[in-house]
Amino acid sequence: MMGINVFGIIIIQLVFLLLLIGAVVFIIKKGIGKTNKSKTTYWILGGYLCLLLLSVGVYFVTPALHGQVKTEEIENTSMPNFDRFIYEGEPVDISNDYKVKQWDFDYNDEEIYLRYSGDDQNSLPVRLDKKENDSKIEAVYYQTPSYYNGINISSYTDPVSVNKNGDELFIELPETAYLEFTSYKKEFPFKQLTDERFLENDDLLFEDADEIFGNQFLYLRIPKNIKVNADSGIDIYEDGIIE
Amino acid sequence: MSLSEISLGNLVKKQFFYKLNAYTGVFSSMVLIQVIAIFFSFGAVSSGSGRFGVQINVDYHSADTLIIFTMLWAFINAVTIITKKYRDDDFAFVTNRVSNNVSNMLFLVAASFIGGVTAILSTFLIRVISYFVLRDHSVIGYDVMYSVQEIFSGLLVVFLYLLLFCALGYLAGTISQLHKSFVVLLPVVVMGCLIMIVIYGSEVLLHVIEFYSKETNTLLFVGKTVITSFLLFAGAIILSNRLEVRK
Repeated sequence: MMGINVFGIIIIQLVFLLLLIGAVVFIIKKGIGKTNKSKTTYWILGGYLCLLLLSVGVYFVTPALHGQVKTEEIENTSMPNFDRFIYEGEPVDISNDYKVKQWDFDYNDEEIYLRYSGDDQNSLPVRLDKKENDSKIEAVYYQTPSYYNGINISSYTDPVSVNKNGDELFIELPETAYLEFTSYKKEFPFKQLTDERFLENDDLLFEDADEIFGNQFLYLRIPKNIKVNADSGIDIYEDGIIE
Repeated sequence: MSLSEISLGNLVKKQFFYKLNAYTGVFSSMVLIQVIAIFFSFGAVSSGSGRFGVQINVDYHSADTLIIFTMLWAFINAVTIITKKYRDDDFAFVTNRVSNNVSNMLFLVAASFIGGVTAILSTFLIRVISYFVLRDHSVIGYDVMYSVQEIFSGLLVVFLYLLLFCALGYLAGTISQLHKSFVVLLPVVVMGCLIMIVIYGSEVLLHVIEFYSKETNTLLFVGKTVITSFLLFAGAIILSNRLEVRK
């Protein structure tokens, strides 16, 4: 079935190409047939050139069309990977730069139920540490920023929220933010002789976006005398082991 | 014997300027093709991705389609100007095959240059229209601005590609003049090549394309395209000498 689909797509591409070639032949034959010094042609070409030159001027005086200037090289490796804290149980020692929010709740019951609320298309790993009995539950949300084509998009998304209701601790997942952008891709002739990364891209016409998606987790510190229950969709890791 | 002798240079010059004035239709068809291609360019390529809490969709605009349309124009334009109808125009002059071919080539060089300039400038028009007319105001991305160096480099690359396509079209057009059967055979061969690339992913043809498209050294790229164009034009001249005086 897959083969038929791929073959169909190729046939459509070839038919489209044929139609395109046919259309170009038709237009050229129509146009080239007029071997006279038609003033209309000069007007058409002159008008088109004026329009193009005008657009060059408008382009250079409209900074919004230039995109954002990349001020610093953002490397994926410069940001911490939280996997070692979640899945390998390493002590949580993370810079406050990545601490988005912290919550403290007084709690005296023997059991607590962790539940998700909000957009259940998202999920958030939870790192659980047990601590001395001090009747307090601490929750810290850590997140590294996300970049798309050099822009920090973290500000477009709502952070996770944690709140307590009776013996339930709700992890409120943010509604998925749907972002629509326009971007411009430099055409291959502009890059062929000037872009050092030109050959790294296998496809000359299309290129992958430069994207870095951050990672996140919720760090919970709960007194050891409290039993933790959770909804089945919540992944809780204690000492690197899923509960 | 003619009373006045005219040098080959003068003859070529006269024919070249005649063609530049007479074949204005070449340029109006180029404008039409580029305008159509500009509309095609707004069918943006979308890229979507997302992770926790965010889904991003980016519409990419570029004039790559327009540049490819212009290459097609260059190829078909070169084939068309050596059809019988246009060859007959040359007989308005005291001419020979060499002056005819050289003036055609100079015309194709000029057409490639004009096509290259308009193709490069139209990249700006696409951006301006997408921003002001389509109201695509949330422009994301860095490194999307053209530097002066890139503009001139882009112009050189497009011009040389168009020249290459013109030379290829000129040779194809000359071959099709040799025998009527080539008029049918040539498109079949071209389509066969396309099918080999698209369906079978022909390595040989891909290597031929990459010989030019993956050359990043300016001198080598200029050398490869100019020498190939010269060889294709030379091949066309040699073949055209086998044509009857006025076929």
